[in-house]
Amino acid sequence: MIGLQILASGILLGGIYALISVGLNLIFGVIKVVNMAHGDFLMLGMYAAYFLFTGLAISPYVSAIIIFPVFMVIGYVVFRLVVKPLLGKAETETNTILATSGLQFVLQNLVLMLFTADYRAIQLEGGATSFNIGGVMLSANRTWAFLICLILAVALYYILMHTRLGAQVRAVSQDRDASVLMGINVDRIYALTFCVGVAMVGLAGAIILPVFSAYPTVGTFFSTSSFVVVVLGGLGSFTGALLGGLIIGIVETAAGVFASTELAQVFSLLVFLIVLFVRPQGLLGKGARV
Amino acid sequence: MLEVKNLNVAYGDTQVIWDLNLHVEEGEIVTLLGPNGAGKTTLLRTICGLVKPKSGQITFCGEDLLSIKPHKRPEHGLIMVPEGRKLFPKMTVEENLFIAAGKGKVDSDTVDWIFELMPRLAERRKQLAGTLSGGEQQMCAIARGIMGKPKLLMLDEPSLGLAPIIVEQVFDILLKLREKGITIFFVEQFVEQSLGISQRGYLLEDGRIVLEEDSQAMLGNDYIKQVYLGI
Repeated sequence: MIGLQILASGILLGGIYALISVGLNLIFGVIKVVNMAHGDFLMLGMYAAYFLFTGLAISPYVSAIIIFPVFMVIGYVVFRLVVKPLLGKAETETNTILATSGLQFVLQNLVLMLFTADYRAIQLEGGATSFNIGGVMLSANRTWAFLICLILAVALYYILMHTRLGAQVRAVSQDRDASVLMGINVDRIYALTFCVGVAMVGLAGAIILPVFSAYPTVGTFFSTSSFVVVVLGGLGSFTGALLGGLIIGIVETAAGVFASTELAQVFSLLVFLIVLFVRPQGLLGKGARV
Repeated sequence: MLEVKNLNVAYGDTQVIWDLNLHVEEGEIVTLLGPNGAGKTTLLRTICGLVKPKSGQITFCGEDLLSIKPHKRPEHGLIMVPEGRKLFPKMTVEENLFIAAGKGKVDSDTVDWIFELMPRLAERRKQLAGTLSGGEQQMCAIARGIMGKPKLLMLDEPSLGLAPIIVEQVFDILLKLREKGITIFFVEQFVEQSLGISQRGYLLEDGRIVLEEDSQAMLGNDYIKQVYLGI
Protein backbone atom coordinates (compact mmCIF):
# COMPACT_ATOMS: atom_id res chain seq x y z
CA MET A 1 0.00 0.00 0.00
CA ILE A 2 2.78 2.40 0.92
CA GLY A 3 4.42 1.57 -2.41
CA LEU A 4 1.25 2.46 -4.27
CA GLN A 5 0.91 5.68 -2.30
CA ILE A 6 4.49 6.67 -3.09
CA LEU A 7 3.95 5.90 -6.74
CA ALA A 8 0.76 7.96 -6.88
CA SER A 9 2.20 10.95 -5.00
CA GLY A 10 5.42 10.65 -6.99
CA ILE A 11 3.58 10.74 -10.29
CA LEU A 12 1.67 13.82 -9.20
CA LEU A 13 4.87 15.58 -8.19
CA GLY A 14 6.57 14.30 -11.33
CA GLY A 15 3.88 15.81 -13.50
CA ILE A 16 4.60 19.17 -11.93
CA TYR A 17 8.33 18.79 -12.52
CA ALA A 18 7.64 17.75 -16.09
CA LEU A 19 5.48 20.80 -16.72
CA ILE A 20 8.16 23.08 -15.30
CA SER A 21 10.90 21.44 -17.35
CA VAL A 22 9.18 21.08 -20.71
CA GLY A 23 9.74 24.70 -21.70
CA LEU A 24 13.43 24.53 -20.80
CA ASN A 25 13.92 21.46 -22.93
CA LEU A 26 11.88 22.81 -25.81
CA ILE A 27 14.01 25.95 -25.93
CA PHE A 28 17.21 23.96 -25.68
CA GLY A 29 16.09 21.41 -28.26
CA VAL A 30 15.09 23.95 -30.87
CA ILE A 31 17.28 27.01 -30.31
CA LYS A 32 20.19 25.23 -28.55
CA VAL A 33 20.08 27.88 -25.87
CA VAL A 34 20.25 27.00 -22.19
CA ASN A 35 17.89 29.43 -20.52
CA MET A 36 19.42 29.92 -17.08
CA ALA A 37 16.57 32.25 -16.13
CA HIS A 38 14.01 29.51 -16.74
CA GLY A 39 13.18 29.06 -13.07
CA ASP A 40 12.81 32.79 -12.64
CA PHE A 41 10.00 32.90 -15.15
CA LEU A 42 8.37 30.27 -12.95
CA MET A 43 8.88 32.62 -10.04
CA LEU A 44 7.33 35.50 -11.98
CA GLY A 45 4.38 33.28 -12.84
CA MET A 46 3.93 32.43 -9.16
CA TYR A 47 3.99 36.11 -8.16
CA ALA A 48 1.58 37.03 -10.94
CA ALA A 49 -0.83 34.34 -9.81
CA TYR A 50 -0.35 35.36 -6.18
CA PHE A 51 -1.29 38.99 -6.77
CA LEU A 52 -4.16 38.06 -9.05
CA PHE A 53 -5.47 35.85 -6.25
CA THR A 54 -4.96 38.22 -3.33
CA GLY A 55 -5.87 41.37 -5.26
CA LEU A 56 -8.66 40.26 -7.54
CA ALA A 57 -9.60 36.90 -6.03
CA ILE A 58 -8.84 35.12 -9.28
CA SER A 59 -8.08 31.43 -8.79
CA PRO A 60 -4.60 30.46 -9.99
CA TYR A 61 -6.17 27.90 -12.30
CA VAL A 62 -7.99 30.74 -14.03
CA SER A 63 -5.08 33.15 -13.92
CA ALA A 64 -2.97 30.49 -15.63
CA ILE A 65 -5.07 31.14 -18.72
CA ILE A 66 -4.31 34.87 -18.50
CA ILE A 67 -0.66 34.32 -17.66
CA PHE A 68 0.04 32.16 -20.71
CA PRO A 69 -0.44 34.87 -23.36
CA VAL A 70 1.07 37.58 -21.16
CA PHE A 71 4.19 35.47 -20.67
CA MET A 72 4.37 34.81 -24.38
CA VAL A 73 4.74 38.56 -24.79
CA ILE A 74 7.34 38.70 -22.00
CA GLY A 75 9.12 35.79 -23.67
CA TYR A 76 9.15 37.64 -26.96
CA VAL A 77 10.63 40.78 -25.41
CA VAL A 78 13.33 38.75 -23.66
CA PHE A 79 14.04 36.82 -26.84
CA ARG A 80 14.49 39.99 -28.88
CA LEU A 81 16.54 41.86 -26.28
CA VAL A 82 18.62 39.13 -24.66
CA VAL A 83 18.80 36.02 -26.85
CA LYS A 84 18.41 37.03 -30.48
CA PRO A 85 21.38 39.43 -30.58
CA LEU A 86 23.64 36.52 -29.59
CA LEU A 87 22.38 33.92 -32.04
CA GLY A 88 24.50 33.00 -35.02
CA LYS A 89 27.55 34.74 -33.57
CA ALA A 90 30.72 33.24 -32.13
CA GLU A 91 30.39 31.41 -28.79
CA THR A 92 26.61 31.52 -28.88
CA GLU A 93 26.19 28.79 -26.29
CA THR A 94 28.44 30.36 -23.67
CA ASN A 95 27.17 33.87 -24.30
CA THR A 96 23.52 32.93 -24.02
CA ILE A 97 24.24 31.14 -20.73
CA LEU A 98 25.94 34.29 -19.43
CA ALA A 99 23.22 36.58 -20.69
CA THR A 100 20.35 34.52 -19.28
CA SER A 101 22.25 34.17 -15.99
CA GLY A 102 22.44 37.94 -15.88
CA LEU A 103 18.72 38.09 -16.53
CA GLN A 104 18.25 35.72 -13.61
CA PHE A 105 19.95 38.17 -11.22
CA VAL A 106 17.98 41.09 -12.60
CA LEU A 107 14.64 39.33 -12.21
CA GLN A 108 15.35 37.95 -8.74
CA ASN A 109 16.55 41.28 -7.39
CA LEU A 110 13.81 43.21 -9.06
CA VAL A 111 11.24 41.03 -7.33
CA LEU A 112 13.17 41.24 -4.06
CA MET A 113 13.16 45.02 -4.28
CA LEU A 114 9.48 45.29 -5.17
CA PHE A 115 7.97 42.57 -3.01
CA THR A 116 10.60 41.83 -0.30
CA ALA A 117 11.91 38.38 0.50
CA ASP A 118 8.71 37.26 2.26
CA TYR A 119 7.33 33.83 1.49
CA ARG A 120 3.93 34.17 -0.10
CA ALA A 121 1.48 31.32 -0.07
CA ILE A 122 -2.20 31.10 -0.81
CA GLN A 123 -4.87 28.89 0.61
CA LEU A 124 -7.44 27.61 -1.83
CA GLU A 125 -10.86 26.59 -0.61
CA GLY A 126 -10.87 22.81 -0.45
CA GLY A 127 -7.24 22.81 -1.53
CA ALA A 128 -6.05 21.02 1.55
CA THR A 129 -8.47 18.14 1.02
CA SER A 130 -7.48 14.86 -0.53
CA PHE A 131 -9.17 12.38 -2.79
CA ASN A 132 -9.27 8.88 -1.43
CA ILE A 133 -8.98 6.44 -4.28
CA GLY A 134 -8.96 2.86 -3.02
CA GLY A 135 -6.97 3.84 0.05
CA VAL A 136 -4.48 5.97 -1.88
CA MET A 137 -4.68 9.60 -0.84
CA LEU A 138 -4.23 12.23 -3.53
CA SER A 139 -3.86 15.86 -2.50
CA ALA A 140 -6.48 17.94 -4.33
CA ASN A 141 -4.12 20.77 -5.29
CA ARG A 142 -1.52 18.42 -6.67
CA THR A 143 -4.11 16.40 -8.53
CA TRP A 144 -5.43 19.50 -10.30
CA ALA A 145 -1.90 20.56 -11.10
CA PHE A 146 -1.15 17.12 -12.48
CA LEU A 147 -4.29 17.00 -14.62
CA ILE A 148 -3.47 20.38 -16.13
CA CYS A 149 0.07 19.17 -16.87
CA LEU A 150 -1.37 16.11 -18.53
CA ILE A 151 -3.71 18.13 -20.73
CA LEU A 152 -0.90 20.49 -21.72
CA ALA A 153 1.49 17.64 -22.44
CA VAL A 154 -1.03 15.91 -24.68
CA ALA A 155 -1.86 19.19 -26.44
CA LEU A 156 1.79 20.03 -27.00
CA TYR A 157 2.55 16.52 -28.21
CA TYR A 158 -0.34 16.72 -30.65
CA ILE A 159 0.82 20.09 -31.97
CA LEU A 160 4.40 18.87 -32.38
CA MET A 161 3.49 15.62 -34.09
CA HIS A 162 0.39 16.44 -36.11
CA THR A 163 0.47 20.05 -37.25
CA ARG A 164 2.54 21.75 -39.88
CA LEU A 165 3.83 24.24 -37.33
CA GLY A 166 4.87 21.39 -35.04
CA ALA A 167 6.64 19.66 -37.90
CA GLN A 168 8.51 22.88 -38.60
CA VAL A 169 9.56 23.11 -34.96
CA ARG A 170 10.84 19.52 -35.08
CA ALA A 171 12.62 20.18 -38.36
CA VAL A 172 14.43 23.22 -36.97
CA SER A 173 15.48 21.25 -33.88
CA GLN A 174 16.87 18.46 -36.05
CA ASP A 175 18.67 20.50 -38.69
CA ARG A 176 18.67 24.26 -38.77
CA ASP A 177 20.36 24.72 -42.13
CA ALA A 178 18.22 22.14 -43.90
CA SER A 179 15.16 23.90 -42.49
CA VAL A 180 16.21 27.17 -44.12
CA LEU A 181 16.77 25.30 -47.38
CA MET A 182 13.26 23.90 -47.18
CA GLY A 183 11.80 27.38 -46.82
CA ILE A 184 11.14 27.37 -43.09
CA ASN A 185 11.39 30.77 -41.41
CA VAL A 186 13.81 29.69 -38.70
CA ASP A 187 13.84 33.06 -36.92
CA ARG A 188 10.09 32.89 -36.52
CA ILE A 189 10.24 29.33 -35.16
CA TYR A 190 12.98 30.39 -32.71
CA ALA A 191 10.93 33.33 -31.44
CA LEU A 192 7.78 31.25 -31.15
CA THR A 193 9.55 28.42 -29.33
CA PHE A 194 11.09 30.81 -26.84
CA CYS A 195 7.72 32.47 -26.22
CA VAL A 196 5.95 29.16 -25.72
CA GLY A 197 8.75 27.84 -23.49
CA VAL A 198 8.53 30.90 -21.25
CA ALA A 199 4.72 30.89 -21.30
CA MET A 200 4.61 27.21 -20.30
CA VAL A 201 6.79 27.81 -17.26
CA GLY A 202 4.92 31.00 -16.35
CA LEU A 203 1.70 29.02 -16.46
CA ALA A 204 3.34 26.31 -14.38
CA GLY A 205 4.12 28.98 -11.79
CA ALA A 206 0.41 29.75 -11.42
CA ILE A 207 -0.52 26.07 -11.28
CA ILE A 208 1.96 25.24 -8.50
CA LEU A 209 1.18 28.29 -6.34
CA PRO A 210 -1.41 26.39 -4.26
CA VAL A 211 1.31 23.79 -3.51
CA PHE A 212 4.54 25.80 -3.16
CA SER A 213 5.19 29.27 -1.70
CA ALA A 214 6.56 32.07 -3.81
CA TYR A 215 9.75 33.95 -2.89
CA PRO A 216 12.31 35.75 -5.03
CA THR A 217 14.77 32.85 -5.33
CA VAL A 218 12.23 30.04 -5.61
CA GLY A 219 13.20 29.73 -9.27
CA THR A 220 16.70 28.60 -8.42
CA PHE A 221 15.40 25.56 -6.56
CA PHE A 222 13.19 24.55 -9.47
CA SER A 223 15.87 25.40 -12.02
CA THR A 224 18.14 22.79 -10.50
CA SER A 225 15.36 20.22 -10.60
CA SER A 226 14.54 21.18 -14.18
CA PHE A 227 18.11 20.70 -15.32
CA VAL A 228 18.22 17.30 -13.66
CA VAL A 229 14.90 16.36 -15.24
CA VAL A 230 15.85 17.31 -18.78
CA VAL A 231 19.34 15.84 -18.70
CA LEU A 232 17.98 12.68 -17.13
CA GLY A 233 15.24 12.30 -19.72
CA GLY A 234 17.28 13.39 -22.70
CA LEU A 235 18.38 16.91 -23.57
CA GLY A 236 16.19 18.61 -26.10
CA SER A 237 13.56 15.89 -26.05
CA PHE A 238 9.97 16.73 -25.12
CA THR A 239 9.05 13.20 -24.12
CA GLY A 240 12.37 12.99 -22.27
CA ALA A 241 11.31 15.89 -20.05
CA LEU A 242 8.05 14.10 -19.23
CA LEU A 243 9.82 10.86 -18.38
CA GLY A 244 12.56 12.61 -16.41
CA GLY A 245 9.95 14.57 -14.47
CA LEU A 246 8.05 11.45 -13.47
CA ILE A 247 11.19 9.64 -12.34
CA ILE A 248 12.45 12.54 -10.26
CA GLY A 249 8.99 12.98 -8.76
CA ILE A 250 8.78 9.34 -7.72
CA VAL A 251 12.35 9.25 -6.39
CA GLU A 252 11.90 12.39 -4.32
CA THR A 253 8.60 11.19 -2.92
CA ALA A 254 10.09 7.83 -1.98
CA ALA A 255 13.10 9.52 -0.41
CA GLY A 256 10.77 11.79 1.52
CA VAL A 257 8.97 8.79 2.97
CA PHE A 258 11.92 6.52 3.71
CA ALA A 259 14.53 9.15 4.60
CA SER A 260 13.49 12.76 4.98
CA THR A 261 12.10 15.47 2.72
CA GLU A 262 15.25 17.53 3.26
CA LEU A 263 17.25 14.70 1.73
CA ALA A 264 14.88 14.19 -1.19
CA GLN A 265 17.03 16.17 -3.62
CA VAL A 266 20.11 14.23 -2.58
CA PHE A 267 18.43 11.04 -3.73
CA SER A 268 17.22 12.50 -7.00
CA LEU A 269 20.72 13.76 -7.72
CA LEU A 270 22.06 10.32 -6.87
CA VAL A 271 19.73 8.69 -9.39
CA PHE A 272 20.73 11.39 -11.83
CA LEU A 273 24.42 10.57 -11.39
CA ILE A 274 23.82 6.86 -11.84
CA VAL A 275 21.86 7.45 -15.04
CA LEU A 276 24.60 9.74 -16.33
CA PHE A 277 27.20 7.04 -15.73
CA VAL A 278 25.16 4.37 -17.45
CA ARG A 279 23.45 6.44 -20.14
CA PRO A 280 25.20 9.80 -20.56
CA GLN A 281 22.84 10.77 -23.39
CA GLY A 282 19.88 10.62 -20.97
CA LEU A 283 17.23 7.92 -20.80
CA LEU A 284 15.67 8.69 -24.16
CA GLY A 285 18.73 10.38 -25.59
CA LYS A 286 18.54 10.72 -29.32
CA GLY A 287 16.00 7.95 -29.65
CA ALA A 288 12.88 9.99 -29.05
CA ARG A 289 11.12 11.60 -31.98
CA VAL A 290 10.19 14.73 -30.06
CA MET B 1 18.34 31.79 -65.26
CA LEU B 2 21.07 32.01 -62.64
CA GLU B 3 23.85 34.52 -62.97
CA VAL B 4 26.67 35.05 -60.53
CA LYS B 5 28.81 38.14 -61.06
CA ASN B 6 32.12 39.09 -59.43
CA LEU B 7 31.34 37.08 -56.33
CA ASN B 8 33.72 37.25 -53.36
CA VAL B 9 33.10 35.17 -50.27
CA ALA B 10 35.17 35.10 -47.10
CA TYR B 11 34.98 33.44 -43.72
CA GLY B 12 36.41 36.13 -41.48
CA ASP B 13 39.75 37.04 -43.00
CA THR B 14 40.01 33.91 -45.10
CA GLN B 15 38.75 34.51 -48.59
CA VAL B 16 37.30 31.38 -50.15
CA ILE B 17 35.85 32.60 -53.43
CA TRP B 18 37.53 35.17 -55.64
CA ASP B 19 35.77 37.27 -58.30
CA LEU B 20 33.69 34.39 -59.45
CA ASN B 21 31.44 34.57 -62.51
CA LEU B 22 29.14 31.86 -63.74
CA HIS B 23 25.73 31.36 -65.25
CA VAL B 24 23.20 28.57 -65.67
CA GLU B 25 20.62 28.75 -68.45
CA GLU B 26 17.12 27.34 -68.37
CA GLY B 27 16.93 23.65 -69.27
CA GLU B 28 20.62 22.97 -68.73
CA ILE B 29 22.42 20.54 -66.54
CA VAL B 30 25.64 22.20 -65.39
CA THR B 31 28.37 20.49 -63.41
CA LEU B 32 30.72 22.22 -61.02
CA LEU B 33 33.94 20.28 -60.61
CA GLY B 34 36.85 20.89 -58.33
CA PRO B 35 39.02 19.34 -55.65
CA ASN B 36 38.15 19.34 -51.95
CA GLY B 37 38.46 22.77 -50.40
CA ALA B 38 38.10 24.60 -53.72
CA GLY B 39 34.99 26.42 -52.49
CA LYS B 40 32.28 24.42 -54.28
CA THR B 41 30.10 23.96 -51.23
CA THR B 42 30.67 27.56 -50.16
CA LEU B 43 29.51 28.72 -53.58
CA LEU B 44 26.27 26.72 -53.38
CA ARG B 45 25.68 27.79 -49.78
CA THR B 46 26.14 31.40 -50.84
CA ILE B 47 23.67 31.05 -53.69
CA CYS B 48 21.01 29.60 -51.42
CA GLY B 49 21.73 32.14 -48.69
CA LEU B 50 23.35 30.13 -45.89
CA VAL B 51 26.53 32.15 -46.36
CA LYS B 52 26.61 35.90 -46.99
CA PRO B 53 29.01 37.06 -49.70
CA LYS B 54 31.50 39.85 -49.19
CA SER B 55 30.66 41.39 -52.52
CA GLY B 56 29.17 40.55 -55.89
CA GLN B 57 25.80 40.00 -57.47
CA ILE B 58 23.58 37.00 -57.89
CA THR B 59 20.50 37.21 -60.08
CA PHE B 60 17.94 34.45 -60.43
CA CYS B 61 15.17 34.63 -63.05
CA GLY B 62 15.80 38.36 -63.32
CA GLU B 63 15.53 39.01 -59.58
CA ASP B 64 18.28 40.20 -57.27
CA LEU B 65 18.71 37.02 -55.23
CA LEU B 66 20.71 38.62 -52.43
CA SER B 67 17.76 40.82 -51.51
CA ILE B 68 15.56 37.74 -51.02
CA LYS B 69 15.72 36.16 -47.57
CA PRO B 70 17.27 32.67 -47.58
CA HIS B 71 14.09 30.90 -46.50
CA LYS B 72 12.11 32.71 -49.20
CA ARG B 73 14.37 31.50 -51.99
CA PRO B 74 12.70 28.07 -52.37
CA GLU B 75 9.40 29.86 -53.09
CA HIS B 76 11.12 31.67 -55.93
CA GLY B 77 12.09 28.33 -57.42
CA LEU B 78 15.64 27.96 -56.15
CA ILE B 79 16.18 24.86 -54.06
CA MET B 80 19.30 23.11 -52.86
CA VAL B 81 19.86 19.50 -51.89
CA PRO B 82 22.71 19.94 -49.42
CA GLU B 83 25.89 17.97 -49.00
CA GLY B 84 25.41 14.92 -46.81
CA ARG B 85 21.60 14.91 -47.49
CA LYS B 86 20.73 16.70 -44.23
CA LEU B 87 17.38 14.97 -43.91
CA PHE B 88 15.37 15.40 -40.75
CA PRO B 89 16.39 12.04 -39.26
CA LYS B 90 13.61 11.70 -36.72
CA MET B 91 10.87 12.45 -39.18
CA THR B 92 9.34 9.94 -41.54
CA VAL B 93 10.08 9.99 -45.26
CA GLU B 94 6.62 11.40 -45.82
CA GLU B 95 7.09 14.13 -43.21
CA ASN B 96 10.40 15.08 -44.78
CA LEU B 97 8.67 15.49 -48.11
CA PHE B 98 5.57 17.27 -46.85
CA ILE B 99 7.49 19.85 -44.86
CA ALA B 100 9.29 20.91 -48.01
CA ALA B 101 6.08 21.53 -49.94
CA GLY B 102 5.89 25.18 -50.91
CA LYS B 103 3.54 27.25 -48.72
CA GLY B 104 2.42 24.11 -46.94
CA LYS B 105 0.37 22.86 -49.85
CA VAL B 106 1.23 19.27 -50.61
CA ASP B 107 0.69 18.73 -54.30
CA SER B 108 -0.46 15.14 -54.81
CA ASP B 109 0.67 15.07 -58.45
CA THR B 110 4.22 15.87 -57.37
CA VAL B 111 4.06 13.22 -54.64
CA ASP B 112 2.76 10.59 -57.09
CA TRP B 113 5.48 11.49 -59.56
CA ILE B 114 8.17 11.24 -56.90
CA PHE B 115 7.01 7.83 -55.76
CA GLU B 116 6.83 6.65 -59.36
CA LEU B 117 10.36 7.92 -59.91
CA MET B 118 11.65 6.40 -56.66
CA PRO B 119 9.50 3.39 -55.76
CA ARG B 120 11.77 2.54 -52.83
CA LEU B 121 10.69 5.73 -51.10
CA ALA B 122 7.04 4.82 -51.55
CA GLU B 123 7.68 1.55 -49.74
CA ARG B 124 9.40 3.40 -46.91
CA ARG B 125 7.14 6.42 -46.62
CA LYS B 126 6.31 5.73 -42.97
CA GLN B 127 9.90 4.93 -41.99
CA LEU B 128 12.13 7.41 -40.14
CA ALA B 129 14.52 9.08 -42.56
CA GLY B 130 17.46 8.42 -40.24
CA THR B 131 17.00 4.67 -40.66
CA LEU B 132 17.21 4.66 -44.47
CA SER B 133 20.26 3.38 -46.33
CA GLY B 134 22.64 5.93 -47.84
CA GLY B 135 21.16 5.58 -51.32
CA GLU B 136 17.61 5.84 -50.05
CA GLN B 137 18.56 8.91 -48.03
CA GLN B 138 19.95 10.59 -51.12
CA MET B 139 16.78 9.75 -53.05
CA CYS B 140 14.75 11.16 -50.18
CA ALA B 141 16.87 14.32 -50.13
CA ILE B 142 16.33 14.82 -53.86
CA ALA B 143 12.63 14.07 -53.48
CA ARG B 144 12.42 16.62 -50.69
CA GLY B 145 14.06 19.14 -52.99
CA ILE B 146 11.51 18.48 -55.73
CA MET B 147 8.55 18.92 -53.38
CA GLY B 148 9.05 22.69 -53.42
CA LYS B 149 8.71 22.67 -57.24
CA PRO B 150 12.09 24.13 -58.10
CA LYS B 151 12.92 25.85 -61.35
CA LEU B 152 16.57 25.36 -60.53
CA LEU B 153 17.69 22.47 -58.36
CA MET B 154 21.20 22.65 -56.96
CA LEU B 155 22.78 19.50 -55.59
CA ASP B 156 25.95 19.33 -53.54
CA GLU B 157 27.71 16.03 -54.26
CA PRO B 158 24.68 13.80 -54.58
CA SER B 159 26.98 10.81 -55.12
CA LEU B 160 28.84 11.27 -51.83
CA GLY B 161 29.43 7.93 -50.14
CA LEU B 162 27.23 5.95 -52.51
CA ALA B 163 27.96 2.68 -54.33
CA PRO B 164 28.61 3.14 -58.07
CA ILE B 165 25.36 1.45 -59.06
CA ILE B 166 23.39 3.83 -56.84
CA VAL B 167 25.30 6.78 -58.25
CA GLU B 168 24.07 5.72 -61.68
CA GLN B 169 20.49 5.66 -60.40
CA VAL B 170 20.91 9.13 -58.92
CA PHE B 171 22.25 10.49 -62.21
CA ASP B 172 19.37 8.80 -64.04
CA ILE B 173 16.96 10.63 -61.80
CA LEU B 174 18.69 13.94 -62.53
CA LEU B 175 18.13 13.33 -66.25
CA LYS B 176 14.46 12.64 -65.61
CA LEU B 177 14.16 15.84 -63.59
CA ARG B 178 15.50 17.76 -66.53
CA GLU B 179 12.93 16.12 -68.82
CA LYS B 180 10.34 17.56 -66.42
CA GLY B 181 11.78 21.00 -67.02
CA ILE B 182 13.91 21.38 -63.92
CA THR B 183 17.26 23.04 -64.52
CA ILE B 184 20.12 21.44 -62.63
CA PHE B 185 23.36 22.82 -61.26
CA PHE B 186 25.39 20.33 -59.28
CA VAL B 187 28.72 19.72 -57.65
CA GLU B 188 30.43 16.42 -58.32
CA GLN B 189 33.60 14.43 -57.84
CA PHE B 190 32.66 11.74 -60.38
CA VAL B 191 34.04 13.72 -63.30
CA GLU B 192 33.27 11.40 -66.18
CA GLN B 193 29.74 10.48 -65.20
CA SER B 194 28.67 13.97 -64.22
CA LEU B 195 30.03 15.55 -67.40
CA GLY B 196 28.32 12.67 -69.23
CA ILE B 197 24.87 13.89 -68.23
CA SER B 198 25.53 17.62 -68.35
CA GLN B 199 25.81 20.20 -71.12
CA ARG B 200 28.46 22.37 -69.57
CA GLY B 201 30.96 22.27 -66.80
CA TYR B 202 32.95 24.64 -64.61
CA LEU B 203 36.18 23.79 -62.89
CA LEU B 204 36.77 25.55 -59.59
CA GLU B 205 40.22 25.60 -58.02
CA ASP B 206 41.26 27.66 -55.00
CA GLY B 207 38.11 29.72 -55.20
CA ARG B 208 38.52 30.69 -58.83
CA ILE B 209 36.86 29.37 -61.99
CA VAL B 210 39.79 28.09 -64.03
CA LEU B 211 37.86 26.39 -66.83
CA GLU B 212 34.43 26.76 -68.38
CA GLU B 213 33.53 24.56 -71.32
CA ASP B 214 31.01 22.26 -72.95
CA SER B 215 31.01 18.91 -71.23
CA GLN B 216 32.41 17.09 -74.22
CA ALA B 217 35.23 19.57 -74.67
CA MET B 218 35.92 19.35 -70.98
CA LEU B 219 36.20 15.58 -71.09
CA GLY B 220 38.75 16.00 -73.88
CA ASN B 221 40.69 18.69 -72.06
CA ASP B 222 44.27 17.63 -71.33
CA TYR B 223 44.38 19.24 -67.91
CA ILE B 224 41.13 17.58 -66.83
CA LYS B 225 42.32 14.27 -68.23
CA GLN B 226 45.60 14.47 -66.37
CA VAL B 227 44.48 15.79 -63.03
CA TYR B 228 40.91 14.61 -62.64
CA LEU B 229 40.58 11.53 -64.81
CA GLY B 230 44.08 10.20 -64.29
CA ILE B 231 44.53 9.34 -67.95
